[in-house]
Amino acid sequence: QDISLFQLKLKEKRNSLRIISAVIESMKHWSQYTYKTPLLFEVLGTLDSAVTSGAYGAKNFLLRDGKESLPCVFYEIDRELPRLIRGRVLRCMGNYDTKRNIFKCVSVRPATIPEQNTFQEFVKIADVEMTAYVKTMNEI
Amino acid sequence: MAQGVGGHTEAVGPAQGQVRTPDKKNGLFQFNTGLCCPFRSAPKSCSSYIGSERYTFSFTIRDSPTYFINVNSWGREEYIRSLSESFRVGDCVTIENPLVQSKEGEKEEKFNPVTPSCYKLLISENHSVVKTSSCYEMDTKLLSLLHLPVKDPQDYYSLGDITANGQSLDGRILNVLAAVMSVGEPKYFITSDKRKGQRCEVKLYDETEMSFPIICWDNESIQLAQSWIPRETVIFASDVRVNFDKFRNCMTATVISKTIITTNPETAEANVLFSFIRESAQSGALHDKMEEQSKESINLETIVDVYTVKQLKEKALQSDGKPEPVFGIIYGYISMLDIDDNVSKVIRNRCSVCRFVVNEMSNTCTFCGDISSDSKSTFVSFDILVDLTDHTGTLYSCYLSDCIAEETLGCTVQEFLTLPEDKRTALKWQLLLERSKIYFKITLSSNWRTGLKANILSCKLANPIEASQSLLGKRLHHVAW
Repeated sequence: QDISLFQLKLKEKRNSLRIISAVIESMKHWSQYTYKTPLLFEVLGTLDSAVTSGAYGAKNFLLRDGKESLPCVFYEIDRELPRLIRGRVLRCMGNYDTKRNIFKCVSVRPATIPEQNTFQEFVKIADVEMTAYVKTMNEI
Repeated sequence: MAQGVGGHTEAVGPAQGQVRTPDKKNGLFQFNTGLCCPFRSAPKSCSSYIGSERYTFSFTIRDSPTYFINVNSWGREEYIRSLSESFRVGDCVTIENPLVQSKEGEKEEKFNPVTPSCYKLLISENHSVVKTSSCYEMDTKLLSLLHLPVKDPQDYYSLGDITANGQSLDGRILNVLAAVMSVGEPKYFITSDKRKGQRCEVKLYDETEMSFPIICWDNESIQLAQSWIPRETVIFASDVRVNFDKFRNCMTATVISKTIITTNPETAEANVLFSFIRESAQSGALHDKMEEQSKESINLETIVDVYTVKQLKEKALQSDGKPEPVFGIIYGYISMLDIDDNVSKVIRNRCSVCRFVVNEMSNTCTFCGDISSDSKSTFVSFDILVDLTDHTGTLYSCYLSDCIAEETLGCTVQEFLTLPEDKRTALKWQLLLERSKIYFKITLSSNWRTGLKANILSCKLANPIEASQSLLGKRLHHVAW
């Protein structure tokens, strides 16, 4: 009795939040599954614009990796966006809004060198996991 | 545990007066009583198979204060495994149609608990049935046997007596009555002949000795030990072996295949010890000792298994609610950390005597009871619930508390309380959504909202190189689960 209850509890949490390391392209791809499981993305890219202020404490900027570029917004709700230097690699955590094509960041900071060097590995790891996940989802 | 069963002895009648007379039912002998087993062996050990095919498993059952009997079962691996997994020490079992055999004298008792019966029972897959019933269906008379030592309650050595006798007791087998000071985590290793082994050290104490190690090597006793509550549980361990540990220069005890452990015995002698525990907790005498041991009992270096959140949940599902905790490492992120909103959510008062979280309303400690009612005897400490997320999912409501929270946040609870809100927010973002190496201990609990109780043992920012290699390599140092 106890065990089945416990297994039930575990199962209902099956679609729990995942944090996925992604390049811009793969983030856009995996974002189509956010209706099935909540996803938060870790994206590394070069700051490719000035940081401009918008309404409601918004800070807007452009992130680029390879040929892809991504409009980003960070809302200064509980803290200010740190000073960011154009041309440097940033590490952003956030959600992708497919309709508006904008990456809503909750955490933005310069990426460390080890992070940059290992990022492709984490993208690979997340890709494998998400591919397997989507496959099982389609089977069900 | 490896007595031969070749040349089946004829099924002798019920062991007169030794176990209750079996009822004859449908031509089967049925021991028609619930029987609890205060001892059971691991289903398989080095000596437990003959050739490659036969496995054995033994346990001891009891149905009266005076009488108990050893039960052996032999058979295919699957049968023995499923049998051994169908009940635990303390469960009630009914055995139908066992073979009743005469004991083989001394040889028998060398590796099995000494029983008053001159018989033993043999269970076979084809002829016998073992039924288990839950504790709710159990006869209260049987339940009370769980707390009755199998030896004369007065026939025990105090820990001080063992220490005082020292090396002259080396190798002796005797009984111990003592309280549990701390339970170490099971440590896994591979023997030189490539077998998996495990070891768990429990520290005992009594009026005469503050710290005395007893070592468990088998899965059954390790599981049992994991259920003990430090400073609350008293055990009567019959037939443990005591040895002189040259390396540590002290006496130690070891749980062996003859040992039967009675948890929280209901005897006058144990009651004296219970009072001693209570008094020493109240006087604070144990506090330093406990501090010291709580640190030493979690040695992070021994934790090597790396899990993803998904693997961990799968492991937990497979474990069928086994009580032993899982220690491991997750490379992931803290995805929920609410320390800058409402301080009262992350701070709890603890009892300065025993470090338990005190009741919020009354500000009293449930463990030490009435003595902590004045607020001076409590101190503030962190008690933070965090979510852990990786690329495979999220583990909700993990505990980050007390000293470990202070280490993780890099600030003491006192410092934290003086921080303005924006500084708390800054502190939060040093950890939140940053890739971390998290050591954890998971205990299964159906009472828990999530089914799992997760305690964080350490949380530091991860080295990305180490994390990626570990996740890519998937080198799971898997050992006994």
